[in-house]
Amino acid sequence: MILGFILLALPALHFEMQGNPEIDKMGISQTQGNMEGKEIRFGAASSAIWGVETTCTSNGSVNSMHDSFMPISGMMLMLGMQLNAFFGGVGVGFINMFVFIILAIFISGLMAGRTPELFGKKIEGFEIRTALLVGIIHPILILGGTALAAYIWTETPDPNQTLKWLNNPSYHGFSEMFYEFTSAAANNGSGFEGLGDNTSFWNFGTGISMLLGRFIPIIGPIAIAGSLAIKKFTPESAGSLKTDSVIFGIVLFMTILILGALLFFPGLVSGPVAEYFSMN
Amino acid sequence: MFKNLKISLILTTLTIIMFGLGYPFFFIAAGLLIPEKSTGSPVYAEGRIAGFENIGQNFTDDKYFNGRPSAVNYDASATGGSNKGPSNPEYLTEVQARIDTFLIHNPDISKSDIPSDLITASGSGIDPDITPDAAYIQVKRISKNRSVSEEELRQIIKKNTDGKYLGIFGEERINLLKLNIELDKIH
Repeated sequence: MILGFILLALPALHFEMQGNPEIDKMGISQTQGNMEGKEIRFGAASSAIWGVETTCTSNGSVNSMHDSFMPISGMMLMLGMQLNAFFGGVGVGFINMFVFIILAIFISGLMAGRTPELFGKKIEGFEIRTALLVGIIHPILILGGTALAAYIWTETPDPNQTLKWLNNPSYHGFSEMFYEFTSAAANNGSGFEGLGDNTSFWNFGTGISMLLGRFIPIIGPIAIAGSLAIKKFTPESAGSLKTDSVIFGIVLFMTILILGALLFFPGLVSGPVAEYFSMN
Repeated sequence: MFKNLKISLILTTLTIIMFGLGYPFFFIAAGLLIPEKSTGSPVYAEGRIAGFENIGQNFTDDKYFNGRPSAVNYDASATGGSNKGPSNPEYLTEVQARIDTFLIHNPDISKSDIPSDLITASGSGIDPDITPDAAYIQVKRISKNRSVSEEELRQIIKKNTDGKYLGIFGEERINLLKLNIELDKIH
């Protein structure tokens, strides 16, 4: 968890402290970092760290405007909420980690040819199906919601006059919508607040993804725990998979990266990454 | 079933009393013990309240140290940032305009010396602080407009600089309101 947190925090720190290259081009030194939307008493570095902390932990309070963050640091904030397993917050943080652990056990069990077991209990079809459902509902809510919003935006003639959601054009506007659904599904509460989201579409859309995004990841793992609890304890044998080894830690981390993060990369590429490259 | 209902009703009532009434009253009582802090840290000048320590005010006069731009015009009842993305062309034009305005008011300085906090809006719109760089760069203009020596101005800036929080978090800063009150005292 800490490793993941650091991996998210370092790029965010780097890009916030480096400042805005567009303003640098105007001949203004960026030694203070990117100060738009930040308070002096926090400064760029502390604001970036808090941004990552608040999105990794479904906290949601902000001390700077995430909308004005540099593109890659904005992406790190989104990834923190999309994985939702590095620390996590009240309710869903460790639960998501638990789901990833079960999936990792299953995957490494398959690869090594061992019986997938957790705390001496066999992991079977029901557990895997539930874990996958929980694992998949989060991306569906985020990507589906964003796709719907983007579809409505592009299908409406003259959206800047009629819908008026977006405060920023092109890639950054897409990031605003993406962030909003990510934040809703991860129950975070922070936002790219340039988005004019007090409309019925956003209130209902994000409301539904908040409900599903909160309760399905709670109900699923409870069902898994219940089904594990009634199973008989199998003593550890030569054939069982060790879950307290470094190797398993690596497998778990890779599972989170592959199952959790890769799903979101198409979205991230068309938002923050595209903006990053358009600026340089 | 009935027992469960009863337990949850009792629990609900208890938490409403504890956190709905007890918690706020506790803090009102705590506030009464430290009146200076609980009334928003007012700052006094010439015997009256000149403002509050943590709510920035808009200083645009050339005779005073100027603060940061604000997306909400220093309206403390509608705080917020610009929420403009770093690549937004509209935003970049705005920054360029701020740079130009600043150079007109401070003709003696070169563009590369402008600290970036003076041309970017804060997140709250009421940032009460400026960086030491932002204060030192305005020394020349103020000394011209007030016939005060630059040395004297540098001294009051130095006196008003607050260090980083606990020595590591955040940046060095100067409370703009306090600095300007100090500035008025020189005369």
